[in-house]
Amino acid sequence: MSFIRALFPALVVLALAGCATVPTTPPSPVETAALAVLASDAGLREKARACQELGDFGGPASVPALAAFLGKEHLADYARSGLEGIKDPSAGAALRAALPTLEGRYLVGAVNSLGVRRDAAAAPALQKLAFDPKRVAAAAEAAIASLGMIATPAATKTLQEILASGPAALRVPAAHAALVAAEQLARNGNTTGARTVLNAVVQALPPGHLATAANDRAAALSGWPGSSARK
Amino acid sequence: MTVRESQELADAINRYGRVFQAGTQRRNVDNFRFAAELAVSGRLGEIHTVHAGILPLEESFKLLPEQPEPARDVVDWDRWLGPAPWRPYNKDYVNGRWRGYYDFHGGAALPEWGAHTVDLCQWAANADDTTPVAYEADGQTIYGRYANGTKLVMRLSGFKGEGNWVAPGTCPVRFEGDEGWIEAADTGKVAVSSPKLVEGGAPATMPGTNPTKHVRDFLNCVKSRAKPAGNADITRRGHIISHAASIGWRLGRKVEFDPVTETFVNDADANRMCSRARRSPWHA
Repeated sequence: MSFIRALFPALVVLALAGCATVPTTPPSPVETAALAVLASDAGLREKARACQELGDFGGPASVPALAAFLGKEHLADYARSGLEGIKDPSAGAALRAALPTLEGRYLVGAVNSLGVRRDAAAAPALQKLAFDPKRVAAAAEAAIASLGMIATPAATKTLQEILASGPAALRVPAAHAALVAAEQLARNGNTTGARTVLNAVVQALPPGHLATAANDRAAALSGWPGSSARK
Repeated sequence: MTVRESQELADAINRYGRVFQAGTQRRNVDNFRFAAELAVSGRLGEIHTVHAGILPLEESFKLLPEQPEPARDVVDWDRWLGPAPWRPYNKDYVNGRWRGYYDFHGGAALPEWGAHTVDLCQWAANADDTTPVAYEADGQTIYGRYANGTKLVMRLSGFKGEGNWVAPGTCPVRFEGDEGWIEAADTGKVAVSSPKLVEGGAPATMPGTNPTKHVRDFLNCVKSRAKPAGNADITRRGHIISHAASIGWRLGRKVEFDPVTETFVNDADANRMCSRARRSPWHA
C-alpha cells in the first residue's frame, strides 16, 4: 500500500501529462542525461544534482520523474528545486496533484513551492489546507504564506476571511501574508485591492508592528503620510 | 543566498520598517571610506573602471563521506543546514570547510567577498541605486558594465595575496578615474597614483575586519531611524550583482541584466538560476 501511495503523485502527473500537456520541444542533452540518472539506481548525490540540473534546464518531460520524489526522504527538496524551476504549467499541476498524498514537511514543502510559483490554480487547495483542523499548524501556516505570494482575488479573499473570523492562531500568519499580497497587488496596479487587504490587517490585529506596517503601506498607496509609530 | 533571497530580504526589511545593517563593515572602515569618497568627490576625475577583489570562482557538487551525527546539543545538523538541501553530516562542514559547495556557498563563492568589494565599487561608481547591465566572464575574471559605460571588473584576489593588486591585504578594491586611481585593502592602507591624493592626510590604519564603527552606525540608526551605511537596499544590489555575475560565469556567456526589474533580459536560462527551493519547512 505504501508503495502505491509513494507512486501516486507520479501516476497522477503521468495522467495529466497525457491529457493536458504535450512537450513541444525535445529534451536537451542535459535533461536527457539527468532523467537517466533519476531512473537509475544512482546514489543520493547523483540524483540530487540531477534534480537541480532539471530545475535549471528541464522541461515538461522532466515533471513526472521529479514529482515521483516529492515524498522521498532527502530527495524531496531537490525535486522541488526541479519543479520550481520548470515554468511549464505541468510542474504546478504535479505539485497540486501531490498535495493529498503528502504529509508533514513534504506537504509543507510542496505548499511552499506552489507559493513560489505563484500558482493561481492552487488557491482552492491551499484554502482547504488553511482551514483544515486535522492538519498540523505548519501546513496551515505554509498554505497561508503561499496564498499571500499568489495574491489572486480568491487568495486574498481567503486571507481576509482568516483575518476577520479565522482561528486566532492563524491571524498573525495571515497578516504577514496579507502584507506580501498587498505588495504584489500594488505591483500589478491593483491599489484598491491592496488597500482592502491592508485594511483587513489593521482591523484584525491590535496595535503593533504588523498593524503599523499595514497602516503605513495603505497610507502610502493613498498618498498620505505614514504613521509615526514606526519611527 | 540567491537573487530571489536577496530581494526577499530587502523587501521584508522595508515592509516592516526595520533598521538593518548588513555585515559589510568595510563601508565604515577608514581606508575604504576614504577611497570611495575620493572617487565620488571627483578628485580621480571621471570614474571609468572599478575593481572588486573576489575569491576563486568554484562550484562543487560533491558530498563529503557520511559520518555519524553528533548529539543535537553538540551539533544540531538539521538547524545547521537551515534552508540548504539535506546532505549527510560530516564534521568538516561544521569546522569551516563548507566553502565552495554549491548548496552552501551560492554564486560560485563570488558573493562572499563580492558582498564587500562589489558593494564598495557600487559606492565609488556612484551606483548605489542601480546595477550593471551586462556581465561577461573570461576565466576567473568577470567584467560588468553599467548603463553609463563604467566598467566593474571582478578579479581574483585571495587570502595569500593572489592577483595583481598594489594595496596589501584581503578584500582589495581599486577605483580608476581619468585623473588617477586609488586602491584599498584589509591592512587598512591605501595605494594611490599620486601623493597629491593624500595630501590632506592618509586615513587612519584600521583593519578591514574591524566592525567598531559599523556597529556604532547601526546603533545610531536604531535611535535616529536613518538608514545605516549597509542598509537593506544597498545590500540587495551588492548581492544581486554578485549572483548575476556568477550566473553569467556558470552559463559561460555574456548575460544582460535589467536593474529595474532585476531580471536577465530575454534570457530564460539565466532567470531560472535566480532561485532554488529552500529545504522544507523553511520559507521566507
